[in-house]
This record gives sequence, C-alpha cells and structure tokens, in this order.
Amino acid sequence: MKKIKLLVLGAALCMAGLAQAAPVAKASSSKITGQETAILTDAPVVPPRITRKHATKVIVNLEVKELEGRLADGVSYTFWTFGGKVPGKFIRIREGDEVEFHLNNHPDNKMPHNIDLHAVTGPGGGAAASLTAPGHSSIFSFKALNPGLYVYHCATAPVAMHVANGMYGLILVEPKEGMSKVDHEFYVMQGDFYTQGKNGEQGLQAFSMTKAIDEKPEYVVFNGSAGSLTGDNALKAKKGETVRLFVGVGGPNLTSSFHVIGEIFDKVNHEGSTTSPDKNVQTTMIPAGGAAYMEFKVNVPGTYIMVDHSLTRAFNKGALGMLKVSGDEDKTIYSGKMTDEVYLPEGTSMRNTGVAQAQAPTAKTKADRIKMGEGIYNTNCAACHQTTGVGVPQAFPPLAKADYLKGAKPAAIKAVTGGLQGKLVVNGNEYNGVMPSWSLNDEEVANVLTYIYNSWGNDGDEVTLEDVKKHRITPVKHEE
Amino acid sequence: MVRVEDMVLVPEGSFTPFFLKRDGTNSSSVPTTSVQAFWLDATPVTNHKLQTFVHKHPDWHKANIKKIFSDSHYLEHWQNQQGTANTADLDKPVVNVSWFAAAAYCEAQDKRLPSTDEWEYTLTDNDRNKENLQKQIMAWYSVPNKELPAVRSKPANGFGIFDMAGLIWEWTADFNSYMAPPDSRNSGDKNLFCGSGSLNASNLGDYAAFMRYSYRESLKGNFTGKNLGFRCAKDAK
Repeated sequence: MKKIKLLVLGAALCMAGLAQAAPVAKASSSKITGQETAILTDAPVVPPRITRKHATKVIVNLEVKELEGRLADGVSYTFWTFGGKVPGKFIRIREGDEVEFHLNNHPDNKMPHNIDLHAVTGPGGGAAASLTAPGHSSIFSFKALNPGLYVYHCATAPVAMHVANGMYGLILVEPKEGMSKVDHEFYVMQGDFYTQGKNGEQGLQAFSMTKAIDEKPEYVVFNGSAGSLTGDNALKAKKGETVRLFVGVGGPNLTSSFHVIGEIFDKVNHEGSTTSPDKNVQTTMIPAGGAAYMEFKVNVPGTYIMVDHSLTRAFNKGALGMLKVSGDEDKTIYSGKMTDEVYLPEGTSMRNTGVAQAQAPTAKTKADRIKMGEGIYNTNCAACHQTTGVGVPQAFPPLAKADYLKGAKPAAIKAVTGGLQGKLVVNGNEYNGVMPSWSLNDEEVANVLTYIYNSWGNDGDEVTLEDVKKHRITPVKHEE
Repeated sequence: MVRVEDMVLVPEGSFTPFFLKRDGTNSSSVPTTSVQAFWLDATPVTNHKLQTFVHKHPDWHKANIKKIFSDSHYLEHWQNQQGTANTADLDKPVVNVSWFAAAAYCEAQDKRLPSTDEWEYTLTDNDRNKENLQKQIMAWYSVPNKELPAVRSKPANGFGIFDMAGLIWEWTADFNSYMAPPDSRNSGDKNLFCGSGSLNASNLGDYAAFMRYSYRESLKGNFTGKNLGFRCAKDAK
C-alpha cells in the first residue's frame, strides 16, 4: 500500500500516474471482460440488478452541480449535488469490476469538489485523485474489491459543509453471487441541513456554519427535502410484494434510527454488509457515512411511514416518508379496529386527556380563554401543528393564517371534537392524513380554539361555550 | 495611505496564517506570518486592461495562446469575432485566465502576482472587520454564479483595496505551495481531505478559509475559471 500513498500525495501534480496504482494483488484473479457505462439513477430509483456473471470495466460519469432547490414548502437552499439532486446518483457495480470514474465539475460552479467513495480501497477513497476545479474533470480508476452498500461523499475542505449541502450518495457493489430478485428496490438517504432561518422560515436559506458546528440542524430529511417521499411522491407497492430499501445516511452529523411504522424488516444487512442478514428487526441504526439495506414483504395494505425514530426529527424536522401498499385487506394478519370500548380501571374514575375536568377553572373573559387554551394546545396539538402553528409540510396542516379556519368556527369545532380524515387543502397545499377526535370538554374546546384564533396572525375570533355546544360532534363512535 | 496610479501601498504587518507551516518558523504558541510592505493593485485586473495587454502581446490572444499555457476555456467570455472583450464587460474583472497569462500580464506591467501570504494578509484587513468579513465571504461562496458586477462596486477595505471578498477568486504566485511542498513524501497530513484537512489549521471554524485553500489546491497553472481572475503586486522598494 505504501507505493499507492506516495503516488497519491502529489495529487495535483501526478494525477495521470494514479490510474495504474489502484489494483492490488487480492483482485488480480477476477478477469475483466468487456466494458459498459454505468446506469445512474436519482432517488428513489435504483439501477437494475446486475445479471452478468463476470467482472467488467465500468465507466461512471458523475457531474457536480451547485444549484438552488426546494428544501421544504416555501423554503429553498443552495444544494451542492452529485448529479443535480440530493442524494447523488445511485451507482451499482459488481464485485471485481474495474471502475473508470469521471468526476466533472460544472463550469458554473464556484467550488472545487472531489469524491471519496467508501467502496474504494486506497488513500482518500479517491478523494486525493479527484480534487477538481470548476470547469474541469478528473479521471481515476479503482477495483471494487469488497462487496457491500457504501456511501460516497465530497471530501473537499471544509468537508462538513460540502456534505451538509447535500454532497453524498450510495454505491452498491453487488457480491459475485449476485443479489436475489425482489419486486421493488428503493433508494432512500437521510441528511441533516443547517439553515440560517428557523425551520419553516420562508425563502432562500443560507447555510449556517454555527448551527452546523453545534450539530443543531433545522431540517432532517429523506432524499433532500421535506416531503420528498410523501403524498404523491410516496413509494408504492402491492400487497404480497417484497420490497428492498437501500438506505444511507449522509449526515454530516446525525445517525438515523431508521424504522418503518407498521412493518418488521424480514432481513437487515447492517452497515451495508453483504454477509448473512439479521432477521426480524424493528429499527436499525445507520451511522453518518454508513448504509444498510433491508427487505420485507408487505402483507397488509395501507400507508407505512418511514421515520428516523429519533422522533422530533420526524415530527418537527422532516424525516418522514411513506410507503403506500395497495391491495385487499387480510383481516387474519391485521384486523383494523374491531371495537372501541370504554375502559374503566379499578378504583379510579375515568380521565381522558389528563386535564382534570371537574375542578378545572372556567374562563371568564376572552383573555382567560386564550391563556387557558395555550396550555391545552401545547399538551394536545403542538406535537403535530407545532408550537408556532406552522404545522409540518405535507404531513400536518398549518393553523397559523390558515384559510381553513377563517370564518369557519363550526368546521373547527367539528374537527376538534369529531376528528378529520382524508384529503384536505389548507393555504393551497394538500394534506391527506388523520386527525383523531379529542376528548375535550366544551370549556376546553372553546379555550383551545380561541387560543388558536388569537395566535399567529389568525383573525382574533372568540369561540364560546355556546358555539361548542351547538357544533360539537359526539366524541366517541362505537362502530367503524 | 499611499497611492500611485491604481496601486496602494499595503504597510508591513503580520497575520495568523490559516495553515501553519511546519518548517519551524512558527512553532511558538501564537504563530503569525510577517509580510513586508508591498504595492498591490487596488482592484482586480479588468477585461479592459487585459485587452490592452493582449493587443500589445498577441501571443496571449485567445486565438494564439499555446496549449500548455491554458486550458480550452481561456477568455471564453470574449465572444465577439475579433476575440476581444464585450463592451459591457470592460469594467468587470477579467476571468477565464490561466496563471501563466496572469503572470505574463503582471510582468508586462513591471509587476508580479502577489504571494498567497500577501493576498491573505490583505484580505484579513488587520482584523478590522473580522466577523462581517467572514459572513460576507461565506455568503458569496455558498451561492452559484451570477452575472459579475464591475470592480469597485463595493467600498474598499481598511488598506484601501477593493474587491478582496465577494467578487471573484484570485490567482496568487504560489497558489499551490501550501499543499505541494517540495518533498511530497511528508505531505500525507497536509491534504485538505476529510479529517486530515483540519490537522494543521489554525482556526477550524473558518470555513471560508478552508474553501479558499482547497480552491487554490484544485488548480494547475493552465486552468481557468468563470470566477477566477487576478491582480498584480510589486515590491515596495
């Protein structure tokens, strides 16, 4: 290995010498036959399975582009990308392949960039050989010695910023024996983003060096933006099909407790290793700069939510995706809700939301309502709609300046007391989720709605007890 | 401050270099790099000035330049038939010039390219406006290319020098000397990659400086860039 090191050091001076340096003894047995250009795909698409039974020379052309894009609804960011999107293009090769890598830095870019592929054996994983000025290309080659699912990323100083701006992707080195056929393969990658403005602050947001160094991201998202895998962008499968997810974490800082709500991973290849998988896993930890792939059969139709189970990231920062499974229900696997019965524990009286009912003070004035409503809001509503009422893009609609609420007190009362389900348009954005009905008494409903109507730029209405009594929906439904 | 034509005398001084040279000269706990007084162009060289030079030295015309002296993007923004600058661009900084062309221009003016130390010292502006300056630099670095403004569009710094930050990258005489020391066998820890990028840095929070040094390291003498120009310097004597 020493010789390789010597050659790499003067990267700028002797790049041409590097092409011969990569192969080492271990791989010399696999014969290279033929040549092909790699098919590269944007997430969530994965290139096709490799069916050839021999090693080949693979040409990879990857272009670095710095461009403005969507980070969340109304929020844009200047991403630095491998191929125009975050995460970068998915690269799929086979163990033993010889890769000729072309890294092209678009002339409009301002920064030099390079690439460190964790699948590469050699100093810098290619980084030393690929530092590329804007308007230039670097070429280096490597032999894929170890099978597995690997992260690649830009490693130009300051590396944390290049990664924070989106410069990461996955490269899969299939083992010689190949990979089993599944019905769907998807590409998901998590990253943390550090913007000057707080989460939800509109407009083009600049990178915050301070927040990055403090490791306090405003956004934690899958595939480069909040909502990239929800609603119409959700991953889709049919009942009975097998799904394989290739999941990576770009970071730069956070690890992911990756979980699919309502699914158990039949198999997980931890750390992207191709050795025998673990079976029946609930949540798998994926380190920053690491990856894993998992398989599961979807038996029950419905929407499965992918999250980083460090849950405020999912609830508040965007780390949320969906897998929609279509097909007929199978009640023997999952019944759905069969009945809803009142549960009376022994020795205590029934309580619902934990807000004591009998002794609760009642509001005398509108100001009282607002004050009391705030506590109810923070206990019951803020987890989804946020303490600032802004909601979570594509998951939970905003209450702040919401056209849905304006002049529509009866609808608001019905929503709180009866719940909501299905498509809903708020301020021009479509939502398709579920809001449960809340077991709040009339006083509490009046207070929390008055608080909402008098906060965050809403128009200041008061919701009275009479309003609630008139419009409330019977809170408990005993039949589906 | 002392001015002669378009040059300003930058007084002698010192600054904390971003990358510490490990040659024993700054082994003390507060390493600084001293810089002798020198003359520096108040602004980057403009398209107009370079065009005048090319007129006198046709070897450097885009049609004639030798391939070893520049890549194929040399002066590619000079798009009219004569291969001269667009009238609207005359007061803008010239870009798409190689180090060789920049050095030849300076030599023809009886000047030279500034050293990296001189350039960085001028940028620090004796730390007169440190925080603001860092923000300004970061703001420029992190957005893609837009139309270039003319030189002198923003106020000068404390030395009386314009456009050190927020306009273009600039060539220095020894642009890659920090990263490619003569004995490359010992330079393994001097790369700017991953963690090793921070090994010798004096201020790990100065991302802007990391970017500048890594940008320079990515260059070779024949490279050009849409954002890469230069200005000239001269000894004070």
